Amino acid sequence: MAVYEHSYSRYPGPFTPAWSRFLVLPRFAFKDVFKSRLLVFFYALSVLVPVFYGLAIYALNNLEVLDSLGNAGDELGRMLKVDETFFSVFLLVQSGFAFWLTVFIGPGLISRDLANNGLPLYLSRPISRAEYVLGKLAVLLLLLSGITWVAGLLLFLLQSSMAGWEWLAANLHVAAAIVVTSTLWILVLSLLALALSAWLRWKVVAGLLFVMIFFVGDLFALLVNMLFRTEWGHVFNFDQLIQIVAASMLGIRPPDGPPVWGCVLALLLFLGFCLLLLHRKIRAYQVVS
Amino acid sequence: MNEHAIATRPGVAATTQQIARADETVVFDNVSKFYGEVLGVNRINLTLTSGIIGLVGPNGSGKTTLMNLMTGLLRPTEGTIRVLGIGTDEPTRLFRLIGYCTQWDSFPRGVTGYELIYGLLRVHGYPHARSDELAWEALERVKLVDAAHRKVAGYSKGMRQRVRLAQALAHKPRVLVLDEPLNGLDPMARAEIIGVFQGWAAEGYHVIISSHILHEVDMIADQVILLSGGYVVAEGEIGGVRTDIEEHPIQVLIRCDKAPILASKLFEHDHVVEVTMHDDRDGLLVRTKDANRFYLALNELVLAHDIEMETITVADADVRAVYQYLIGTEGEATR
Amino acid sequence: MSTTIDPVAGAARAGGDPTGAFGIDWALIRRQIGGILRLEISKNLIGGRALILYVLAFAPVLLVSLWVVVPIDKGLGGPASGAAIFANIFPFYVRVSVYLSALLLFMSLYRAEILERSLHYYLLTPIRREVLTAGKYLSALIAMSLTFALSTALLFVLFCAPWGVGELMGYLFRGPGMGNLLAYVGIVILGCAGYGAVFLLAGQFFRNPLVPGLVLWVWELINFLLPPLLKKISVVHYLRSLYPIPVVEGPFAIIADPTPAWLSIPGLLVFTSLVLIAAGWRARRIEITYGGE
Repeated sequence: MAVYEHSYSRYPGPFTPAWSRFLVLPRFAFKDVFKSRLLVFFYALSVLVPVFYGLAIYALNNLEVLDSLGNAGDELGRMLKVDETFFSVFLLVQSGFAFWLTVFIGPGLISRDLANNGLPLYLSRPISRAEYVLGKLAVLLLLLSGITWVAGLLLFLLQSSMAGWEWLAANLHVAAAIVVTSTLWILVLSLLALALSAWLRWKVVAGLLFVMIFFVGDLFALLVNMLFRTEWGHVFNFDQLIQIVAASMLGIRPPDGPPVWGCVLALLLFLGFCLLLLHRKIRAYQVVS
Repeated sequence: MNEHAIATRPGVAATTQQIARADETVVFDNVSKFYGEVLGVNRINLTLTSGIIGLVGPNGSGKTTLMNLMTGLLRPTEGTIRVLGIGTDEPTRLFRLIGYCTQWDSFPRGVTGYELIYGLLRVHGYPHARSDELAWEALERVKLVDAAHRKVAGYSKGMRQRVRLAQALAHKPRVLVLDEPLNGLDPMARAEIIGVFQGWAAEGYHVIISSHILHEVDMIADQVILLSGGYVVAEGEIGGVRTDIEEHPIQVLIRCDKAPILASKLFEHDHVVEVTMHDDRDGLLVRTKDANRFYLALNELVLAHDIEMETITVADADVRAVYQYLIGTEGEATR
Repeated sequence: MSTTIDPVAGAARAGGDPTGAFGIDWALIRRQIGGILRLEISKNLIGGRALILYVLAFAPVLLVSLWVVVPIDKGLGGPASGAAIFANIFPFYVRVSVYLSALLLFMSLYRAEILERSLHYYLLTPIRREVLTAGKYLSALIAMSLTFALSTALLFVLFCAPWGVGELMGYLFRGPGMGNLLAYVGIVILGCAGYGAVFLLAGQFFRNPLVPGLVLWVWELINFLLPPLLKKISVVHYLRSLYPIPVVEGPFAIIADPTPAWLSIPGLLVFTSLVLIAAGWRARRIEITYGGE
């Protein structure tokens, strides 16, 4: 008679909630990211800019500080105003930091799992493909949010607290612009980086292609505009599209390019394309042709 | 037992085999390899003549490093290696004589089994007809003819292992270096491949095989070199090593409710050489020279004293334990 | 199972000739390079890496094809004015498409195989590492030159095409067109050779060649702003000296004397050879430690 020794028993303890399970991925990814001193330095640098902006807001709202600077303070007060342009420049600078951070972090997020056949390991756990992508996306979303819209909103609140609630009420569109354009930019960067990371096992090539898409896109846009005497070539120039959206929300003069609806449509189509690329590549098995 | 292979260490008297001609031996002369501050192998002195030689050691013991050094994929930090009289920095001569089946389960992207073997033979410099002939011969030898035109990426693990073997022996080298060559092979394929190795060794060629499974090497090799922590810790005929292992007492871990009683009763048996009580007095570690008699006695004691058993585990069944026994604590035998 | 062994080793078995000049078996080296080309060229022309190469080479061709067929005013200057537009776009084409393709293709020659853990197959063959390097370089150069020579020729012809076939043929075969076209194709091939050698070497030194690649790219992009002495430390400066149709570099450009063709072509070739020698020397020191990648 066969005797079965039932030595295995199910784990009886509590489970983490299903909705938050994807956060395991960023938790480990952050450890990896902050192992690099260069990235820590770069991230610190990108946090310093909002600090500098905060000091500027404080100074511009504080007559005593401006007075203590003498003529330079008067000059500063005349030249600098905390308005839509102030925040648009802030967004532009932080977008640059976000771009380079993505160049160095994004391309390795999925490609390393693919190169080491790690995808089936993740997807054989109670985690879906969407949650896997969300987990990887969260790494960039959290990091980039910290230096873009979160920092921007903090500056906005600082200015509101110093300039009064009238200023806040009159400039709510600025807060909306900070959140919307930062989110769009972060999504473009993150989804593109993940899509490339999923399709190219070598993160260096994925990184190179990421940079190429932006830089070559700019030049391609110029070529299209030159040959066809149009402004629609800028649909290949994502940073220009974002700037047009931001300018229209902030109510300042937008750079040359298609109308806002065209920019938003182009960006949404591009995001959809990135999601399609991820959908086709993120699978728990490998197809050998 | 053939006496083709020998291995020497500093302080070991030279034997007659050492006088073998340099162009017939693989010689490691005081070879060390460090990866930065990490030790790969240290002060290796070996002279290997023809026959099947087993490199045995636990994972991380330096087997692959030794093989990579022998085939020029790594450069020694110190010392020199000569394969049949040729330095490992002379690829044009060395790789006509040597074939290496690595343990890396990776291949150039998109190639078929035939394309891999044929393409590399063309890089050897063989013309088309000869490359084609040698490629098919090698694929035939590892029984991969039917799958030759399929992509290697679609092969099973065993097939990938066989195509690596085919790549190593396609140009008919005089020295075959095989890193864990039987991994992934089914019993039939193992038997066939072992037959090939033995045939080659019988014809006077060098077949150097690594494994972390002593039993596997026992079946193939006449001579064995035991590595641990980057050092050669034992070498010689396999029979001697086996005897050592057979005489090596096994350790059994027992957890039960009457450990002190069990310990005292076990001491009455002459095959029990040592009993160590756990601090909580619910467990004991027994060393016995005769496992069969020990288990019989244990059954009787459990029934006689109504002992409730929680765990009975052989504490040193793994290979590492055997090496621990062979090399002493932390490899002190060689340091 | 057979256990027959062919113990004969050496070039003779491989059907090779005895050693030739400098004690080197040149026939064997030719065969070995042929073997590498067989394995590598298809790798460079098919697959994901090649797809990026094709996009960079042929996306402008597609765009200009569209420009040819779209009915917009292209001026009355005829094919010569089309060639002038091409001449103005060509420096960007070299700095962007050619440069980035070379970066991708040549730096992958060793680095991608280390990542895929397949470089050891080459290193276990009886081939000198210098010959392996030369073979790999040649394979990528052939693949890239074929792609970009075709792309350049198509671009040139397409820019000259909107004024009709008769005008185009006249410009190409009875005017300066064919000479200009061949000069541009030659420049592109020289660019592939020069950049390729640099990136082959960079791929051996840097685990992540992205950073040096991008730094050098910026250097080449801002070349027109650099002082004359610094201009000369760039591939693009020597290529510009060969442009058959002069290009205005813009109001901020600093003018430097162009290097004559008789100096720039051999200069580039010597530079390429020196870099390749360095790459071959470096290849001799390659060790297989895949775990460290």
